[in-house]
Amino acid sequence: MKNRNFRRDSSGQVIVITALLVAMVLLSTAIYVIETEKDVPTVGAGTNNVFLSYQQAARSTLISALANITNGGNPDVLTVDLNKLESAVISQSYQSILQMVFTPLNQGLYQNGVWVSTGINGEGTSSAIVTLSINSTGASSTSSLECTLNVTSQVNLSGSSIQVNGTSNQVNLRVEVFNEGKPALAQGFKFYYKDAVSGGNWTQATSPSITDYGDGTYAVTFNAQTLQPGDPLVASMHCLDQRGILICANVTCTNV
Amino acid sequence: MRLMKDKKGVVRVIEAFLASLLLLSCLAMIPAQPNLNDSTGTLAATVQNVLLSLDSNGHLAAMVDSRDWVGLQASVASALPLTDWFNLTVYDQNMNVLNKGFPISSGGEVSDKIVSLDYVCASQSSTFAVYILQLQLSQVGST
Repeated sequence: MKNRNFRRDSSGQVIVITALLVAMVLLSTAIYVIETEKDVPTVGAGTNNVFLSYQQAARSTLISALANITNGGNPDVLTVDLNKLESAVISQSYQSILQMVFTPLNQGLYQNGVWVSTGINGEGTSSAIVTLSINSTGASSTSSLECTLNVTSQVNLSGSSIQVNGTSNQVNLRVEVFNEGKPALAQGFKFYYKDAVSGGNWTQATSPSITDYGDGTYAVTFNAQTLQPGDPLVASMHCLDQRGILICANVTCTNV
Repeated sequence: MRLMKDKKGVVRVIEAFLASLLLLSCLAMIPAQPNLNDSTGTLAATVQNVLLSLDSNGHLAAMVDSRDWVGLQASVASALPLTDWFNLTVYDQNMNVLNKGFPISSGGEVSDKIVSLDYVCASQSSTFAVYILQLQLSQVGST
């Protein structure tokens, strides 16, 4: 009987064991890769994006209402418009139960979320502030958002007048327009003036010369008459920002 | 003797075959990779982002205010890849179609898989209006 050589006979088992080890390494690598990829965030149409669209719609509503109010509309239009938006959004929310609450600011100078001021010191403000709360309850998750929406158009008006001849004066004004504190462009400028001493009615300036510096700053020059030579002048400015919100400001021009 | 040697060779071949079978069966046991690039979610996110970016300065509602369907079609088309297909329908708050007779789309569908998303947008003009935009989108190769 031939002697058995263990090394030679066990070579087959070694191949099988090696194959098994390689298979285990392959399996563990695959499982590791799968588990790691589970943690990678993926792009999806999550609630955040939807909430962003609601925020944008609410902001647009504020702009629309403020444009309406500053151009002579009823201050209640803000609440009415927000209610319209709320019903439209809720009726389109099929995947979750949505609660949307708008709380207009009633604090300080704001009434029902709106503050419109024609400052006599050259500062004019048209502003609307509302707190928006959204609560979304879906089949698998609940999410909520609370944020303050602020739409504010401001103008800073400063100027001086130079006596040209008798009661005739040249008024030089500097206008700075801001949207939410950032420089913004404006249009539809109208300028008025009146004698600060005798008062009287506002007179619209004819053919004012307006220089647009492109950064929300405007230099304006126009001629104005006072009742008495040397009387100070009060200038008034009305303009629309690019969102259609009317901003007004008055300033007493310094004589130079 | 020779037959014995030949048999040993056959056994080796059988062992190698078994080993490769073992490897293959292990590979087959690896679970199929789930499609993490959920194409529906990605498409929906694309739709949402396109409308959100167009609405960021109120341009979307302004175009609807002025019934500028050609401008709206051009804006949506420029915000999407050329290979994507879209169809946009604009409704008012009472779900009446505003672009009746003016289809805002980019031709024929490129895939059976279409994602549809409703987007509520509000007008910034002093005459307030709420619009509901329904954008359908499909991408080439999405199944």
